[in-house]
Amino acid sequence: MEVIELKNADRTLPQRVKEFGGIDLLACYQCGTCSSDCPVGTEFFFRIRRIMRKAALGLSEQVLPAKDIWCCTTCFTCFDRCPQDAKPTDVILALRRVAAREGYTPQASRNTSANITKFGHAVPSLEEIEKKREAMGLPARPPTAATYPEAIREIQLIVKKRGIAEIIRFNWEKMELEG
Amino acid sequence: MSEDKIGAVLVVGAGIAGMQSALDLADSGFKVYLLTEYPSIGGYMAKLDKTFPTNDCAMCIISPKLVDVAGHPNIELLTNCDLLELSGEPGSFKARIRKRTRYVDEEKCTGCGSCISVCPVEILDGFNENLRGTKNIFIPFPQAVPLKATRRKETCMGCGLCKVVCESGAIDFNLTDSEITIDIGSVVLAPGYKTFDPELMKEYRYDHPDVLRSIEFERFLAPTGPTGGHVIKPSTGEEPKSIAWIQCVGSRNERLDRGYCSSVCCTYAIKEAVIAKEHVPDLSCTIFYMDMRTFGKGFEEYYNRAKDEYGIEFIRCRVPSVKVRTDGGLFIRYENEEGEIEEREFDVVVLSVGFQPPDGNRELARILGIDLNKFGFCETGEFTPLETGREGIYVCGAFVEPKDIPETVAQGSGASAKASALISTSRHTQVTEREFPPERDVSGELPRIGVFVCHCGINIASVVDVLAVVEYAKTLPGVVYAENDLYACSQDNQKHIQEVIKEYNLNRVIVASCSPRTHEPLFRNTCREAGLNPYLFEMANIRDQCSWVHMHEPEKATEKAKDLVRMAVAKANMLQPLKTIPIEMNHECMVIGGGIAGMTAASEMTRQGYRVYLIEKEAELGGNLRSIRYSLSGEDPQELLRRMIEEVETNPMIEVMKSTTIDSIEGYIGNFKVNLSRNGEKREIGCGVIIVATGAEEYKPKEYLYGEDERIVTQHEFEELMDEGKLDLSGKTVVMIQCVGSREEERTYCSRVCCATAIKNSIVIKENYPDADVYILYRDIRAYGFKEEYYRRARDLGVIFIRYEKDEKPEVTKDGDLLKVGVVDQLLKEKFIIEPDLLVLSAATIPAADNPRISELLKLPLTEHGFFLEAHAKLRPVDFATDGVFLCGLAHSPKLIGETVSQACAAVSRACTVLSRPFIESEGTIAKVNELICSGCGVCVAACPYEVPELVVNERGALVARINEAKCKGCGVCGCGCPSSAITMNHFMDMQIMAQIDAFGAT
Repeated sequence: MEVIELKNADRTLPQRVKEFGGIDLLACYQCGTCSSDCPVGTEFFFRIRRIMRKAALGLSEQVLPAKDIWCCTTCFTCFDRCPQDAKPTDVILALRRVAAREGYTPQASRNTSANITKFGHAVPSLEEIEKKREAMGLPARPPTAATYPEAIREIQLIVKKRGIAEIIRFNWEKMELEG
Repeated sequence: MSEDKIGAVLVVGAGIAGMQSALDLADSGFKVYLLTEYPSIGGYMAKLDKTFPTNDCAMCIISPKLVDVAGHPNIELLTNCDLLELSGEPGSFKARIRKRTRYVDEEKCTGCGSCISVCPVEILDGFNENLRGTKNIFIPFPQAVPLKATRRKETCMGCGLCKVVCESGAIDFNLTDSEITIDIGSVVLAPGYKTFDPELMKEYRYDHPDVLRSIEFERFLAPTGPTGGHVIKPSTGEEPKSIAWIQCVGSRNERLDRGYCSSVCCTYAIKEAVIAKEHVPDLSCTIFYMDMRTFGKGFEEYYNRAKDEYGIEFIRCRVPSVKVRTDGGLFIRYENEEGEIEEREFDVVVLSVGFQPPDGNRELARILGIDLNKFGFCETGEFTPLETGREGIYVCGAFVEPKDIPETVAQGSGASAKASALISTSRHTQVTEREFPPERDVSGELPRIGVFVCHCGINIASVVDVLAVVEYAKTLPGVVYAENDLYACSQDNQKHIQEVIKEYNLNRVIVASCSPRTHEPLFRNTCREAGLNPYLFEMANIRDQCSWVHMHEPEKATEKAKDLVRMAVAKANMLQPLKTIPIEMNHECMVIGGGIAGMTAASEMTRQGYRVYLIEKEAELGGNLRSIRYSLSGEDPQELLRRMIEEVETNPMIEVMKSTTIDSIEGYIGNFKVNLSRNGEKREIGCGVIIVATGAEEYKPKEYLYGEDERIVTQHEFEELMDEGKLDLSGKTVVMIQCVGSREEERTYCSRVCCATAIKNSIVIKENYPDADVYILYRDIRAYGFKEEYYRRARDLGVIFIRYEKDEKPEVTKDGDLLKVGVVDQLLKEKFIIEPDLLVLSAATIPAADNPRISELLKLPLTEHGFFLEAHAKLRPVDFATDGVFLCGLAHSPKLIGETVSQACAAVSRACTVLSRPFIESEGTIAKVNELICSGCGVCVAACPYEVPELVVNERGALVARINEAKCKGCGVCGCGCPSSAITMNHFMDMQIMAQIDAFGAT
């Protein structure tokens, strides 16, 4: 059994979660509603109740680097069911924001973010697909931001201004991720 | 405030709270108007099958109260009525009331049920939670009070069949609603509650036939319910193999604006599971819960028995939803305590629905000008739970806060004390004492027995051949008259019996009907009205003992009914008139204990107009309240303490005796003699009633290094240190450990107050030192009622709650100068080490050390744990089995200040039912000693549970037993034990009993 000295716990975590949108984290009374009806939890060992618990206790080292918080599909079932209105989905999202700022963004999320920054779309356009689309009589590119250079520039502006580039460590010179 | 106060009270709501309030008021010299919107009194309790934790049948214990209310000369029933307006001022109100017509003349209706049997229209039966049908003209349940039919106009097809069959001509479709105005001095509110509607939580699939609300399941368990007490899976009608209970449906739920705990659901779910298992032994019962809140007296033991003896499974997880398989079966998915997701199928799912305010609460508040709290319950103060904030209007029961039956009964009595205190100078001004004609002397007459055999509607007559029993009765020796009655107990039949007694010059009366426990007093009074001594009445119970238990064997049931009637006649031939004697009584009260319970009781008693001796063994008043410095709501307990001390010490009607111990108590109700010592000085006082308010103590822990380090304190000690400014907790870490000395093998009960206390003190710390870390280590958080709100507040403030298991307790160690607490978090299964600067132990509340001595002095029983044992766990929470002695506060069991105040007022109300009488009347059925035969052996002295017989040397110089007529309860133990047959029991004399036995053998 793991032994944890609570004096080493991160007292600032609940406050940071609050600041990033998980405003009712502390309302949680550990009833298990969220875990029990979580569609991800039935397939994987993903337990929202534990995440809520660790966040409230300030166990940053257990919560922030772990993959758990990135497994949530944000289906909002727990949000709807929580009897204390602790808004677990919001807590998960807030934890992601905190984790990201501490450099714990998973590579897949960084890649996706980089794609959006570069191409205006999470999935970059592939030449093969463009050919197929044209063969079917469709425009080569779907009518997403990726098709409109002006929209891509706007996205890049958001990425710059909101500090997302620093969080995912995006190099504007090379237009790619660092490390 | 009006000078001419009106000695009458309006009680709004006629469930168990309203009934108790009405009975207490009416028994202490006030006129009562008991109003309910429903056609019958009884409330929710009448719907319940059994009651926890004793598993008493609810109807069996409420039925005598229903009859008491129905027959009370000073209670006027206003059923099917609405309160429209209240005007005037405290002491002199006017209430305008609408009487909704039943379309049945209450004066004429005998409750025979003929109309019901012919009515062709079926409607849903609300009493049975719409689980079956009833007729459009109906009586809600067989024991309904008043037993009068009610027609629903909206659904009536107007065929008029009911009018045709009604022999008393009671039904009149042209009757209309009417209004009355009554004059009253005060008002008691007891409108009760409503259960949560699970339609608001679609995820629980209440639309599925096998998902039931707990109150529906209760009806399935009840013998008077839709299946006659047979537990079924509604979709198939088969016996279920598994049932799940889901707790907190509509409780502890912020999302639904019901952030309070309904307090009773945990224990009622346990009860339903246990009773269901008794019905279906192989049944698997599972209760899904968050915190098991069995905090009441005897509840924790009930929970333990359910687990250990009945094999009820308890799973700690709040169930998010009930799921339905494609084949219609039900299943539940939950996270178990190991963190695994499990799925389980159940035949039936019971939703433990919570309490919510009754419909019409806002309208009621508007009419009365009172405030409601944010949930719509009545707003009351933490220390003044019976007060609405408007003088002259008092409140009790679940409308104050969700609560169980004993607390409701206590508050019913408590509100009665409050309502009557206001108008105590007008006691006896509005009541009518029942006057009886002089008794006819029947000595020297041969027995002339009349036998009245009751149909009890169909209760008896559908099984027993009543006419055959009547014809048989006519053949028995001494019987000069016999007849059958549709309802022997109906009001009009009482007049009829009196006429028959006179016409046939009867001198013995037998009613063959139901239980003497509920109906004997009624028929005895009927005899008295006809000029007969009440002890010339005898009863044969041909309902419970014939038609109910032999319902499938009508012929045998009829034969048995004849046997019972023959035996009753044999005894009646031997019955003798008995005299009761009025005994002078003392109208003062002694209160033992000067804590908040005793001081409240003393103060309230003087407001009723009675003098009080307040006895305190310590040099100071206040008891445990002296250590309580904070409250949940922010009221100041020390201000309460100062106010109460000043009140009792300056009240000219209270004699406060501090540093005083009781040496002996003799006597009986109305006439107690008490010997006291104060610093070696002796004194004798007399009183008519005694209130035991001896309090309790905070346990001095042997656990967790208590006493070995000054940083380890109890909650009381914490409050004193904190309040006196001796703690600076800035940036410090505080750990609180719950259940220290409670819920253990040696002390199995829950101390009830500790969760609220820890929450309260944690909030105090966080509000004063936001940077302090507070951890509360608990087993179940029992923040019942509105205290749940404070549990939430503590969490919001950052207090961390860590649950531990009974078998894996926290470890407290000292590492050099460092205190260390190790605890295994039950969710994460990780061990936490906390280094507290202060460790606060939530120590058990233990019985006062003096309890055994007080119990000895007053011959009062104690519970296995050493608290005082009340007369009845459910319906007599502040009475003792010993008449004239009452109980309140921590002496009864651990409780919070408000609950103590309620109970103290209740004890006063109960005591006033005694003190308001001019004298005490002795019982007729008591033991008598024939001193010529008595050998003075003392067997009776040893055998009597009430310590009544005494050995004395009589005028002839013989050592004999003597029985005090006023004290004797007539239980008969002495008579059975007497080896020389020197003791006879009036009304149960050997020759009477032998005649019955002989008659049983004869055919």
